[in-house]
Amino acid sequence: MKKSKKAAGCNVSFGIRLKKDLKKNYAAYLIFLPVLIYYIIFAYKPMYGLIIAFKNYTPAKGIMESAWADNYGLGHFIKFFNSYYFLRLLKNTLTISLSTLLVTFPAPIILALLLNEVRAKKFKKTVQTLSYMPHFISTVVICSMIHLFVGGNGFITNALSALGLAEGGISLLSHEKMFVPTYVISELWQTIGWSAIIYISALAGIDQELYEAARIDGANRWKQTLHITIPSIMVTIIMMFILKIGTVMSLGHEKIILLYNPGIYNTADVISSYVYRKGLLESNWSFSTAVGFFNSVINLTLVIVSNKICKKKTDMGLW
Amino acid sequence: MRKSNFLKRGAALLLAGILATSFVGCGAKKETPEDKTNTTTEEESAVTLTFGMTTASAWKERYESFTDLPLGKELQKQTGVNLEMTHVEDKTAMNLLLATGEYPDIISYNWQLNYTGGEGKAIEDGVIYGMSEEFVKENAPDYWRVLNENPELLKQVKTPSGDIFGFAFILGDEILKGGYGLIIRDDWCEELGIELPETADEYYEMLKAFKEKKGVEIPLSVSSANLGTMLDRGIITSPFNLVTRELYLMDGKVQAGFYQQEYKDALAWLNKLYTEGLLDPNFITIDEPTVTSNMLTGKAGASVGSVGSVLGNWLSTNKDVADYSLAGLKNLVAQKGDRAMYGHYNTDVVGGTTVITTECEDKEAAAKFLNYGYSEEGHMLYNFGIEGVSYEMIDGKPIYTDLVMNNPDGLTSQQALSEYQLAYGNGPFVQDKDYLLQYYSTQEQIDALNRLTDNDAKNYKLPRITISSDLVSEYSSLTSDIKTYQDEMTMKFITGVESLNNYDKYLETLKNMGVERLIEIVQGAVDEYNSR
Repeated sequence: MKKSKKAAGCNVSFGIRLKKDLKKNYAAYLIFLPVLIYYIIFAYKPMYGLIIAFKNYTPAKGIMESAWADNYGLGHFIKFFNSYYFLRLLKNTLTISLSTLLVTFPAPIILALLLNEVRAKKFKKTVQTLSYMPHFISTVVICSMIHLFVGGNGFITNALSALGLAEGGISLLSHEKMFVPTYVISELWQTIGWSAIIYISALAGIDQELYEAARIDGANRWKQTLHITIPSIMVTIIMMFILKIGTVMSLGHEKIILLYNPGIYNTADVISSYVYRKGLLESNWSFSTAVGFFNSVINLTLVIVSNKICKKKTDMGLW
Repeated sequence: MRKSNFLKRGAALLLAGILATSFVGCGAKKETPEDKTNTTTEEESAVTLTFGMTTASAWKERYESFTDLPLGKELQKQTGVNLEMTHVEDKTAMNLLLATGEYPDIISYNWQLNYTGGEGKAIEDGVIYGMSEEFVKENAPDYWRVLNENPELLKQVKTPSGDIFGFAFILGDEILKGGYGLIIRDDWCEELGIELPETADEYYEMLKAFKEKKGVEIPLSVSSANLGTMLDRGIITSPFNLVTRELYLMDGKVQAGFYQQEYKDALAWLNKLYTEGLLDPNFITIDEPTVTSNMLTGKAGASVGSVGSVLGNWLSTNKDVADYSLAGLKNLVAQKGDRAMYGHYNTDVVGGTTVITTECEDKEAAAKFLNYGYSEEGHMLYNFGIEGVSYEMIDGKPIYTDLVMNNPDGLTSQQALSEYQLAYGNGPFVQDKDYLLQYYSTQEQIDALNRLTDNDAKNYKLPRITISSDLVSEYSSLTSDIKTYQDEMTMKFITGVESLNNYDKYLETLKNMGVERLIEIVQGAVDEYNSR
């Protein structure tokens, strides 16, 4: 009796609270509105389309009218799991994304810490600008630049062949083994500066008195970094880490599609590029959606698991 | 933020679909009102049809829309139909458009090549309106007449369920069906005292001579797609007793070239070219423009391509370069004097088919409009353009004017022709051989055409089959997986990443992937075709 009354009261009070808040902070809500609309249109509404993963979708019949797939709607998933390429796609997706994570996650932190130690302001600004520049170039352009750099006469190919690490005159992208390093390093080049910005701003927010106190206690620069700087930005690091984990499976298909070729499918073909080929080039819409859906489920699971682990170990998490 | 990522990935396709709708919206170029009033003030009741097609590279740099071309304008004038174009950039964009479920009234597209399952599946999917014979007889009498003149034609435009799927691009003469093959620098051959090679060994010796005596960097420059075509069209497979890498017919039985022991010998030969540096070391990653520039600058001495758009363009681009001449070669054989088993050879109905979609509200009007291409006037317009502008009748024959053959504005003949006719590409009409004979303006091209078509492809070519709809999904997933594997292994065997000692393992894998079932399905379709 008491309980239900409380619950009801809670409901009412939420409505009233919302109303009050709306009135008070209407400007903030107004600013938020476009974001909300964006997500409704581009993220929540298309969710409805996921149904086609369980159907034999044909556009003319529409989503609702299309027949359900075999095996209680799971036919396309079963087909994918049994497909000849399933294991390879999974392996490549994980290899490429984990090595990307391994390299591109710590790098911006290190860059931020290093920049933090730089006293020459002009130098610092220049490095920062140069390092985040590639972020603003479109993927298509980036990929044609990569093609030039590692092509038969590209400067990277030439440099590597001078060191005896690669065959001269042959594009690195025709070797299976070279794809992952090429991808990861180009990814690093593209993202390091931009990702470092958030750490740089976190560093700027650290209370200077902490450093003063540490200096009085006799801590050198290295000790200061170890005991003050890093712990202070730890929350940011963990948050970024969990966010990053969530994208592990969703490798940028644009970049892979622009870089790979049939000769190196063995190491370069990933789930999202497979989805692209199946769905857009071969019009197997339902199958392709099923594969993409599987990919997202893994992604979501990874986020939840990593959040749990982080919370358990460090008491910090996204939610 | 976090949630969105999951959603985004998951619904990637649908999202893409939504984007496509907006993209298509942008792509559609509406006619300006002024244009319309000019042609239709008298006929208030003029029909308006929406028309979807991919832009042609030959004119897209200069015009925004098909209806801006002299051809498009004339077509609207003659048929009294207003066209509203929806242009898409390429295959991916067209497939996106098709995924939205909202189609223009008419679509011109290469369904067989780009839409899994071809026209039959598109009818099944509810994209294409399948026409009955009565419908065609009634609304497109000229088309019906053309189809009835040659019994093969009617078979080629039908699905297994008996529908006529659309208005086909029909090759009106045997001479139009071939014209793709090996191209070499014959001036170098002359300089080195080499006769035009006919056998695989002679070809190899020629490449070697290019490299050693001429110091050519890349004797044979091709992209991976080119190389695939060389194998698929049997241009270099005859010496190894292999008809083609593709599926073909032998004594009424469907065979798969890539699933035979003989294919190993072809791969071994290519591997030899690759290891000795005669084949472009970057063939996997380079594209057509790179091949073109290699061939134009003398970096390379041999390639592959079609007589018109490749050989012809290269010759005309370099026409002022002294000592630059190209020749087309006969498809390679084992012994001098042999005749190649296979080559590029088209069925009568090829390329893009112009179809009426299920969304079209006035299907009769659309059929009447498309019928125009098969009438006398339509035939002349689509093949030769506008009389007095792009062609003149001389001795009862249409002869292209200098406006298109020697364009004053410096356009290549392909570009200039593209503004006045559609014979270079595809459309709803019968291609005329007089187009080709004039378009191939140089003796080199005519010689090349004769040499490239000198083979027995006719005996082995699969008919233009349509897979029956209940097998389409199985057929397409088998084809796509097998094609991916086969492409991949071909590259690996050629570059030596995979040793040819493992060829039997490759065959075994193909077997496990269901290649025999694939052959069975195609055999069924061939039998069904023959029984029509």
